[in-house]
Amino acid sequence: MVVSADRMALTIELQQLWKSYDGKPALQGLFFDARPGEIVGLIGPNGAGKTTTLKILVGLLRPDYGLIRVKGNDVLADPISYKADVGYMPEAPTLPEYLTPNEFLGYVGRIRNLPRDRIADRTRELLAILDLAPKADETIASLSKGMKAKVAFAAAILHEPSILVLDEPLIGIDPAGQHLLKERLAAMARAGATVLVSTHQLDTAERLCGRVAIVNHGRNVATGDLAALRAQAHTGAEGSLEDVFLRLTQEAVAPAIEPPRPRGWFRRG
Amino acid sequence: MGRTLTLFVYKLQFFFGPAFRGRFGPLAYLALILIFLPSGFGFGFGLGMTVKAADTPNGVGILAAPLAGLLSVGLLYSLGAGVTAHASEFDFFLTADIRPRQYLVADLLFQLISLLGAGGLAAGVAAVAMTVAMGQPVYAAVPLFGLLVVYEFFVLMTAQVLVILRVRYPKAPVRLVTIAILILSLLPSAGLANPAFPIRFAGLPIPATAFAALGLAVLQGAAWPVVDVLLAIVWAGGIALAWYVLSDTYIVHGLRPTMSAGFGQVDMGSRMEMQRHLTARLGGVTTRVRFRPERGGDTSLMTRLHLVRIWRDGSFVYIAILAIVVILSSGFGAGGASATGAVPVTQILTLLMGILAMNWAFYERENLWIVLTTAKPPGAYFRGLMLSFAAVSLVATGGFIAFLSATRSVRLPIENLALPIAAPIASAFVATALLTRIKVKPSAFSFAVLGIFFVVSLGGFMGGLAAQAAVVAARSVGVFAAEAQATVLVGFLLALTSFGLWIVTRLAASFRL
Repeated sequence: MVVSADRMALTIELQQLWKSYDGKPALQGLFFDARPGEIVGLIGPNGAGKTTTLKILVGLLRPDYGLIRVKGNDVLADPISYKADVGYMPEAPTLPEYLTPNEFLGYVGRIRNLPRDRIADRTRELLAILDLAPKADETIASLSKGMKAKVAFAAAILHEPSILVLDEPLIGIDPAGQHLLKERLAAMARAGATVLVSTHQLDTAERLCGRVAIVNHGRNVATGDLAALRAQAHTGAEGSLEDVFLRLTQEAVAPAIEPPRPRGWFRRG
Repeated sequence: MGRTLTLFVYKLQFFFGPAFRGRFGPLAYLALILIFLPSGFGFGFGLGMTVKAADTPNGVGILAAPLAGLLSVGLLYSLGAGVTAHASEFDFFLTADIRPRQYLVADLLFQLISLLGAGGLAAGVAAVAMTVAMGQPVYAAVPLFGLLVVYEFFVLMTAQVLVILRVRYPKAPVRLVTIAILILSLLPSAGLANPAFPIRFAGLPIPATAFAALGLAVLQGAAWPVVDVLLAIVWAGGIALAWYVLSDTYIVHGLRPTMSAGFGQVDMGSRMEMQRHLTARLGGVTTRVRFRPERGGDTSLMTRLHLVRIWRDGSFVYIAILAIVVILSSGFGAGGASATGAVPVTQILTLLMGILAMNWAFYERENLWIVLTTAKPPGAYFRGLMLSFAAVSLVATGGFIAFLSATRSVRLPIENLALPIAAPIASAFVATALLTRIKVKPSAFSFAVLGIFFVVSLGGFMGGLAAQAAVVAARSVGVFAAEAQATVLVGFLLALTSFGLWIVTRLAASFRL
């Protein structure tokens, strides 16, 4: 199959993503893409399909139908090797609370196949940057919610991934910590990483993301930079992302449509 | 009584409702009760036969050991919670103007009724089996069962009294005293295994001895000894009085959620919360055992990770105490030097494995996202899980064998030891294999929950019996030397472990969160 040069430049490409839980559709033909150096925001109401999309992208869920390419590679055909390039921070991450941040990051480094001296350096560096150094040898269970989120963030970027997938990364983190994380994300994007962020914080998405995909009921409502979204929502040049979001997601929802019939044994498009 | 009844009914509906409303309705609950009946009968009959063969002081001791074990479990429970409360009760009931005594009565009734509901029939069958074994008419089981219910009520009240004391006098060493009573109540059990042990149940003015003496009188068709009747009344009445005096103490601030889910349900949130509570509290102590991720290969890394988890989250301490309590109070020592004594111990070891497996399924499975979002397959993770399970259980086996060595002059033959040595490895293998496939859902009645317990236990026994068969077969072809039989056993264990690791790796390759 020939892939065009334009498509080759994409780090993430999702097409016609369908997923249902017990017959209830969660994703109905969702699509979007992202390029190197880009921070893409994924926003939508509760139950819109954001977390499902991100879990599919990082391999924790399998779609009923659709195409997922990461750096040009078909993720459903090779669901393992692409993960070496991906960092993931789940929404409300569960962590092994019996470990200390030091031990946890060491463990993550090992399963990320980092050289052992590199693990120690990165752990020290990240714990210092994220103001976690004083808590490095206390169990995660004793940390505050925000500190736990920082530990999860450190684990996501420990191996310096070129693709970072973050599901509501700023929940529970104090303003200074949020600022720190946003700066870090911007720096990673400047260095060429692709960052995909799901968030309900529309002002953050507006300032942080180059492009935003608005999803509702598992479908794309609109995708583009703020100017394109304003045009689509007819909010005028001064319209905020919140105005755009409210306008586009409150419009009548199209009736549910039948998913494409899976082809072949592997239920892929 | 109105509010107490409402609370009691809420607890009952919360705990048993899901099972009755579930896919299999009361049938599933009935199945669970029936599963315990054969072991109830076996336990009762065995106990009855042992008592029959013993003289009166030994008979009292044999009956007192399980009663002391029951009290120890109650004391253990009081160290943790002592009161059953779901998180929703804290949010909606304990914020209302309910008097502490109203809540405690409801809780006491709930605990008693649910215990009788879950194990009452098996206990009744055990009582019948004991009377049959002693050659008494079957109706003699009624007062025997009645004594057990009264004793159980006494245990539950004791646990509540200790909780109230702990909350009311936070600076008093109530926990320390509880631990001391726990150890002291178990200590005489050692006298069953080793007749030279100076402390014995008979003659001690403790509740287990008093109730055991009354039980023995029922089983022998003799008159109830007045001293023991008085002693039982003093103990039960004393605790009831203490409970009444203390039960209007405000203790809500000292309680925490313990009843995390209804029967057959899995309430992940509450269980996680409980685990966090425990981990945070034990963290300072347990981090002295360090996890060094920079060392060893992948399987070693994961084995150490799981061992550190089991150590730091308190599971190890919990199952160690449970193992000691149950092994000491199972009347194993009283079983004499017979080979069958290894069977209840093996059953306990496999049940401990079931507890470890459930713990993993409840609060550790979620952490697998860390492994599954990397490019490494989860084989090493599950191999480590199996090896850690086996290691923990083998520690308990080691303790059991050490206990045997210390208390017996006669050494058990290797074929009898093969069962408790091989069963932990086999049950670790079966537990891990199941965990790669079973997802414990918060469903109304989860057969996964039962499956983990019973299949793990069954698998452990089958592995243990296979090891025993290998040693017996070796003897039948002329291998009589203990060293040679031990070599056969070690070879079998290595083969079983390798096979288990291979299967687990294959199953893990297709694991889905």
